[in-house]
Amino acid sequence: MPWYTVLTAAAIVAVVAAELLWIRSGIFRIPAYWIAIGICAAFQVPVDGWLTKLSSVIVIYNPEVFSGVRIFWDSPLEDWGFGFALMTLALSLWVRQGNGSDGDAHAADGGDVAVSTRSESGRASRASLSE
Amino acid sequence: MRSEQFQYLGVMALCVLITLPLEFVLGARVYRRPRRLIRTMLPTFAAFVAWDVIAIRLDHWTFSPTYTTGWKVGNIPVEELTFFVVIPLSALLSFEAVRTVQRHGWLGALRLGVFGRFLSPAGRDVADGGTAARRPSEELV
Repeated sequence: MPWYTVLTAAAIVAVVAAELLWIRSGIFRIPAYWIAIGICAAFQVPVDGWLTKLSSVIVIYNPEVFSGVRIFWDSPLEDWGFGFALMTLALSLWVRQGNGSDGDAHAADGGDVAVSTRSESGRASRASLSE
Repeated sequence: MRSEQFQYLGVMALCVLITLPLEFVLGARVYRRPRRLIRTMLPTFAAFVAWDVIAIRLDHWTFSPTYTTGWKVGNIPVEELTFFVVIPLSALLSFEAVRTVQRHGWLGALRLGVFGRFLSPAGRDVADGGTAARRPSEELV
């Protein structure tokens, strides 16, 4: 059973769902997010490659649990989904904390305004409630 | 211990070194927001270490004794624990560096990175670009 493939797919779905339905930082609408993912993917080639190259392998994958597709210096294809989920979760949580108007994060950080549609509509609805 | 045993840890150390200029040259300001950083890293670390624990237990992947230290916490090599700090951290630094350059230009990002503050066009020192970032025209950056 290709468990690594299954778990990677599940992780991508879970992280994207968490961002869209729960964390709602709005990162998927921020160009810098996609640029950063692109930059990190470029650096993943040598880093992941060094760890997985079969000539002197550091992280050894059980061939029974992944698709068998290896790209760039023998990195399992699944590693790319794994990296995407890992980085997206971190960025989503990070950006979320910059969007709120609460607490030290906003003041100390100067706030993030990246997402604005949501936080603005939030403010608007709060404002209309108080009227 | 042989030096090859530090290969995995060495790769992690290189990732930290290579991304340091994003903080201290381009003004990503990730290390300089420690509370927010911890609140980001803890859930991410917990989720992916949990996956790692299960994957190692179920023999999804193993680690070369030649290129790892053999130091472990439970069944997880310290290299893996390092990985789940270093990689998300690198992503945050990349993201914030991109955003700083988008907001303030290369020169502004350099000022923020090196001096940790941003001299606004009006000549006021703005703590960390926060005020500048809140200008309406830059809201969607």
